[in-house]
Amino acid sequence: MPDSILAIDHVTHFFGGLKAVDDCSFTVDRGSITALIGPNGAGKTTLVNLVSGALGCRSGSIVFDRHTISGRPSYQIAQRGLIRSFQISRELGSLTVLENLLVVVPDQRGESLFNTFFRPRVGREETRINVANALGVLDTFSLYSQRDEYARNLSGGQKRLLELARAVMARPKLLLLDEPMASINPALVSQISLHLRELRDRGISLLMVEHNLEAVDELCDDVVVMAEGRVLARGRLADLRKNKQVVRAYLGGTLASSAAG
Amino acid sequence: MDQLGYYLATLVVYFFVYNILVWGLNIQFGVAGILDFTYITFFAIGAYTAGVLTNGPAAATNQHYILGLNWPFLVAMCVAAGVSALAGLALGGVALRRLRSDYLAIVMVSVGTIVFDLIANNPNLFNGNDGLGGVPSPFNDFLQLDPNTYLYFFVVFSGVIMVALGLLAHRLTSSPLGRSMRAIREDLEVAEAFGKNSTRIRLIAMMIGCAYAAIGGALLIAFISAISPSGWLPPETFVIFAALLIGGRANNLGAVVGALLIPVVFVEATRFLPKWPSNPELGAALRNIAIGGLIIATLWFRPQGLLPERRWRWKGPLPAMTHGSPDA
Repeated sequence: MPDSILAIDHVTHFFGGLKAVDDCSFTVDRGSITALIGPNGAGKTTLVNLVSGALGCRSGSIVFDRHTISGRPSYQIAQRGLIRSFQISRELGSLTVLENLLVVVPDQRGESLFNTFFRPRVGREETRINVANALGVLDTFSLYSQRDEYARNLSGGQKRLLELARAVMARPKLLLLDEPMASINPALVSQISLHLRELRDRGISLLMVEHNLEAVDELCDDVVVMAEGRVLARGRLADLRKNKQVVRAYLGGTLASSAAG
Repeated sequence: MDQLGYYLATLVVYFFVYNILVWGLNIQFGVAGILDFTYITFFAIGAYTAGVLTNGPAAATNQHYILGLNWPFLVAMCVAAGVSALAGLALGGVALRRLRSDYLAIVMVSVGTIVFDLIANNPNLFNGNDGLGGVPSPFNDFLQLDPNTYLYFFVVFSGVIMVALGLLAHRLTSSPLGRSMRAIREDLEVAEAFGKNSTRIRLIAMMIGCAYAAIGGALLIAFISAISPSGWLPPETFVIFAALLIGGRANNLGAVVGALLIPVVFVEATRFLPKWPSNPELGAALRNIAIGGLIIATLWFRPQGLLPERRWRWKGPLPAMTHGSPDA
């Protein structure tokens, strides 16, 4: 049985009376790219928020890399190596592109109060190393020449790339990507696909919420389908296309209804 | 010594004190984004703490206050900074942990008003509404300077403290810790999602800012040897906010410009406008209205302030890139 990096076990979450996630359980294999698909309102983003700690998980348990993370604050989950991206780019606008990467480097000694005031050299030395790494990452993501630009001035596509570059810089073990391909052009989709595959090859596990099924088909080893807060099915996308429930809930749902209308 | 020299030297000390205050608020609001709407309270905590620690026992005077320990000024100033930082920790620990910034601001204003009423109406704590007086001039028990020479000594003394605090503020704002504070100011949720303990980091900013406010307060009470509640009315916080917003938030030099322009030049210049005999309070009221107008005008026409936040750039060597587009 393959080793799982993330195990979601009987997780339920309510927003008031609305059951957004309903007794949801699945695992993500270490070193895999797993897709989480499903119709709008299936509870995918809520699940991402629960796993990353942005929402408190009150029912069920989430185990990441052999540590129970459900109920932990999001910064502690991030410190363990579970890094998320956001569905809508959340760049730190008045920081430069380079700073957006520098700020997320884990375990910075220059952040300690003592070093800040009495040994500023520690922070400077560390920054020199981090800058070298960050420039390399920016180069990979074609953002090198924008390094000194304020992040808020980037184009929509560049912000998507920055979102990914920043997540890489945080040295994750598991990347939780909320629609990394949302609202970007086809050329960029293939560029991002390439990056994601490179990350997987470097040993980073990925769980991505995505609606671009072509990209999912190409990239993902494993696909989890959610509908109405529950896991409906799981497997390879090619097999799921034959699953009647999946077709009805998501894949063919829109086609069927538009044909009927 | 001539009157003008005396007046200008006094103004310089006021400028130094305000400069320290604006730097402290810059760390809290400019860098970390904490809407500390009761900043002046921490100034007062510093002033009163330094006052009751350097004063002799209250029994020897006809005032009523706690402590009265005859401590040397520098020790009292450090303790005052510590007490204020702890007060900031207590308030921030309650308010910063959960509350959104708008609710946080309301809590800050409420607590500030409560503290103000407590100090003004309790005659036994810091001599109530009459204010705390008779605070000794630092070092003058062995310097034995005449008042005019001592004034110049105090200009240098407060200047040294201001420069030291300015260097420390610069170290903070140019450090990785300062960058994390700015990240939290921009988007707290994102900072948390990347492993920043935002509560801890914001509390650090809160405490440092409160310590700066207290050092400003300690210097001021040592300089004018007295403080009363009328000297730190809650609206005074907004004079310091005005200085920071107009000078330029998150820019230490902008804070200097703001401290010079608003509390010193603007408030002093308007002091000499003719007074209405029928209503001598009108001048001060109009001054506050004018400062409010200046804040609005700044936010409207130049929201970044006179000296905007400086863009951080890497000035070291750039590595050769493989397949990117290194611009020359």
